[in-house]
Amino acid sequence: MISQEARVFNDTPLNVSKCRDVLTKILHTVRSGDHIPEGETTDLFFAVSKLFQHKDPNLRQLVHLIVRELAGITEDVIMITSSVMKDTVGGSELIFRPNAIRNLCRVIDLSTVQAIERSLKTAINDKSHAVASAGIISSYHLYLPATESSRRTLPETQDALSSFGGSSGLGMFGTHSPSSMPQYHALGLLILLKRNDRNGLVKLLQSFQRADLVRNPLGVVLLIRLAGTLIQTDSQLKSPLIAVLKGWADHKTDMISLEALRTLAGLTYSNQDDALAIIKVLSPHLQSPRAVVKIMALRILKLLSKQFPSIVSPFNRDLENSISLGNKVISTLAIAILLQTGSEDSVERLVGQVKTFIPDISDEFRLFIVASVEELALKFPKQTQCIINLLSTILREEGSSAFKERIILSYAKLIQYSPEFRDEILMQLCEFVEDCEYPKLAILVLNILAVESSQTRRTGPFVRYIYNRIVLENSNVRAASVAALSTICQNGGDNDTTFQRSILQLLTQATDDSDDEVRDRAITGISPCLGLGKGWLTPKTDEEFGDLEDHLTGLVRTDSAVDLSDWQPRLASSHLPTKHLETGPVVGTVAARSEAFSSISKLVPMVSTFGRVWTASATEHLTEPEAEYVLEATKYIYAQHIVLHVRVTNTLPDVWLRDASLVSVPALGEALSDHGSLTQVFTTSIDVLGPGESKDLLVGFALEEVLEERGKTSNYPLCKLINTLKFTAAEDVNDNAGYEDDFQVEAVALGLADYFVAEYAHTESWDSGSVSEAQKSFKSTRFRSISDSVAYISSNLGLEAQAVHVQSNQLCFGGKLPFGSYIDVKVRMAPVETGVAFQITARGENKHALDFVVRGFLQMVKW
Amino acid sequence: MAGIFRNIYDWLLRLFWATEMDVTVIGLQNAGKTSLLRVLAGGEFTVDSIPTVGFSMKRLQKGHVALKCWDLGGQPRFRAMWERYCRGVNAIVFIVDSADPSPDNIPQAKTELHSLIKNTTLDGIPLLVLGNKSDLPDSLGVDDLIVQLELNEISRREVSCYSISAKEETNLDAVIQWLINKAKR
Repeated sequence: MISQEARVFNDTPLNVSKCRDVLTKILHTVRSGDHIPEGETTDLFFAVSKLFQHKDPNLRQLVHLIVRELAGITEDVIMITSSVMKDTVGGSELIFRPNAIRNLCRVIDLSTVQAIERSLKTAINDKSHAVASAGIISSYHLYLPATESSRRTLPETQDALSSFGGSSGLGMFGTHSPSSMPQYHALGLLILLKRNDRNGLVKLLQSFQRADLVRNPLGVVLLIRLAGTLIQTDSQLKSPLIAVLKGWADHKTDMISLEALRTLAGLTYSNQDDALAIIKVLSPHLQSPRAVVKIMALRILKLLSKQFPSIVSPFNRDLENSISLGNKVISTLAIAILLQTGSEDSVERLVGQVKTFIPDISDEFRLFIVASVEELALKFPKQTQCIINLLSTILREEGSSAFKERIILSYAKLIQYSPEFRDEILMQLCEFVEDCEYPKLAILVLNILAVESSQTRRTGPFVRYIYNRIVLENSNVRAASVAALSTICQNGGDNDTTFQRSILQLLTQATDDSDDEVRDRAITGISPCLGLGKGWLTPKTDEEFGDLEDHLTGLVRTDSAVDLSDWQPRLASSHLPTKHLETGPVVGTVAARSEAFSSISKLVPMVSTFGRVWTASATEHLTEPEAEYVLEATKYIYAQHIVLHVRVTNTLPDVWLRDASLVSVPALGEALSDHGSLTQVFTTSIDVLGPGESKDLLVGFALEEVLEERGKTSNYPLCKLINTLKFTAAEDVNDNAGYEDDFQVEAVALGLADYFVAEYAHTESWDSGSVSEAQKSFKSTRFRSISDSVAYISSNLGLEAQAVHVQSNQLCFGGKLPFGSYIDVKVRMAPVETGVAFQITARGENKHALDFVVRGFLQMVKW
Repeated sequence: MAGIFRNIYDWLLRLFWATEMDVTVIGLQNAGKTSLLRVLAGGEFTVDSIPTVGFSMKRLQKGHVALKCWDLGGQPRFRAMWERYCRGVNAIVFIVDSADPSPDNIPQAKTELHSLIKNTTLDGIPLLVLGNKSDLPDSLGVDDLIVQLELNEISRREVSCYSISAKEETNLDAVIQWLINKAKR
């Protein structure tokens, strides 16, 4: 349609007002995001390009605006380069001149970029603020494609920065006058150009930190952000820059003051006084009648409340009033802050407010609120009931699938962390699924039911709900229901044959379904329950699926009859809880590795007597990847044993290794290390390792068992194991001569992270019962800030975000060692001159285990 | 108010005697397109001119005829765009450097010209081929140009070929006259 109208551009003589109408229409179409096919935009672009010859300045300006929009989506924009360049010269009275200058960077390509440098420099030095701004912006956009050209405008930009900082004061209402805009743009460009030159940036900041030198408030905001980044990269600058920021925080322009406050709030503080000082400046903004200012102030408050929940309390009444103000953003933020900082006894009241509030707000705010509510439930497990009630209410509200999905996932998480509510939550999910309009969500719920319902006291009622889906829903949901029923049948059927038979009855009915997938799943579900090759058609893990697939492919290839009786899942130890430590790149998948381990460990009968594997570490390299022999190690921790699994790869093209074995001994004399009572119990060797081959080695250690009054534990070592590969190298397979050689590789560290498996922390367990306690205080210079140390500890111990309570510089988590009961850990942290001070307290039943956790923690932080 | 009077004036002008026509000037790079237009517009001839990036527009007033001349860049990357600017014009002017000694020059000009006018969108548009730089020694004459550019092969349109020199202003009147005649069609 537009292309048709664009024909007026070719009329002779040109009808200017009609052209402008059409151009405006095009501009509207492009800006409102309507898609114009590429061929059409190119036609349009060429039609428009012919209008450059027209004298009417308003028409020319429109043409430039169109070019701006079309430049990114058409080919051959280079065609209009000389036309655009012609428009960039001339007096400042030309209305289209800034538009033309801004377009320069859009139409240019790298081969012609030097031709425009002059134009840019002239423009930046122009007296007119619009022209100067346009020049700076064009140069800014050139930075990525043509950094050098952009860099060459540096002196002109610096001139512009000072020349537009002239005397005339701020405009009315403290808003900025447009004549200072070049300052903002110039600062932006200068920061970009100097971004790799920290000294230059510091100098720039220092020369403009007097508030009156930069008249443009947006420019000041840029400086504040610059100060924020500089503080983070250089701690020496911290105190002078904070002083500068505090000056800006008192600025009478809201924009500047809020930006400075936000930057200040983002820094970590050692004590509450600093935070209180920020709050003092912030509080007038919180009362501001302007919604924008209030929103920003609330966001800053939210930021601060994360670190110091208590400082928000004076504002609680204000916040509660804000909820009913009518501005959705303000209400959402206020509720989020209250939820975040609320104490246990205020939960009920807050939940009541959320209930009345949630129907009025849009979905993105709801997601935000559900996330906060979920956090609250994890923080105060005693209030879970109340929160489940809330979730069930809002689940019944009208809402998008994303919102409902979020609630369902919250439910799933609650089941995990508060199993005592499993029945109730599952029942609510059942009710939800009864009239759920989103098949995707119904499937999600059915999957949750399949896994969780067998752990409830009575599975029967859930089966009823699931079966209803088979009767009533579309094929996707029916298939999911059938899958859920077969899972339940297998999980719960072993003990109760009548129950199993009833489910089989239902599944048999489903074999008459009209949909292929549903019938297939029903049959797949029935077969194992009838005892048809029980186990072989239900691979439990991905590796087993892969295994089965390989087996089947093999059968197809050899064209033999399909007979699965000789297929056995090769894995026994596939359900290891594996921690993913950041120990460098790991070659191969975890699955492949544990597969290798299980096959080789079968060769050592002793391993099967060790019991269940407690944890397996991530695989770490013991050599450089390009070494002659490449070694990778994985640690398997058992209750009383440790097995080191090393894969050796021979990368040499013409050397055979014979009788290769690994000698692994604890390192003596390391600070903070304790090798406990590590005794080597077995070691395996490789007979021959040819060029390019990879084979596995095991070394097993036994630990001493420690009996305690309240249970037993082992003497877990905290030390490094020094490893040497011993072998005889030969130049030929049959060469019996060869020479003996040692190959020293990296040590393997055994630390708390290897033994400790984090579990969700119940805060109330901290004060319950008569427990032992172990405590230690120490300092570490390793971390710059508390958040650094929290991140390090969490990633090392595999703490989930939900399992960590970071409140007033305190990290609470819990977990288990291979032996013994749950251990609660609290770590208090305080920033000190040279790093962070820690105080770790561990509570639990087993004194020895507690001591071990404290020692292990100290070693982990210090090493 | 001024706009209204101006519109009326323009309209009167058009009504009685003014004619406007579009002419596209193309040719390989460094053939002398921009220089020719500059001289035609009454400007000085300059030896060094910057290659045209894209296109530029020159308006020539000859008597009562206004010629809008689209001067297109001659570098290879612009040649694909020639066709777009030739659609619906009153005449196409193709300029050849008749004194360029390189063996590729004329064959390449021939290929570009023939592939351009093959487009059905340009059917019937009169073509004027100009052999520029006739002042230089060893420049090709009109007859040689006609043969080497295979102008006889071109059908379904009026084709003329002149030998000119933008520097010495030879034969330029004939060019103007030819163009103005096309306006009267």
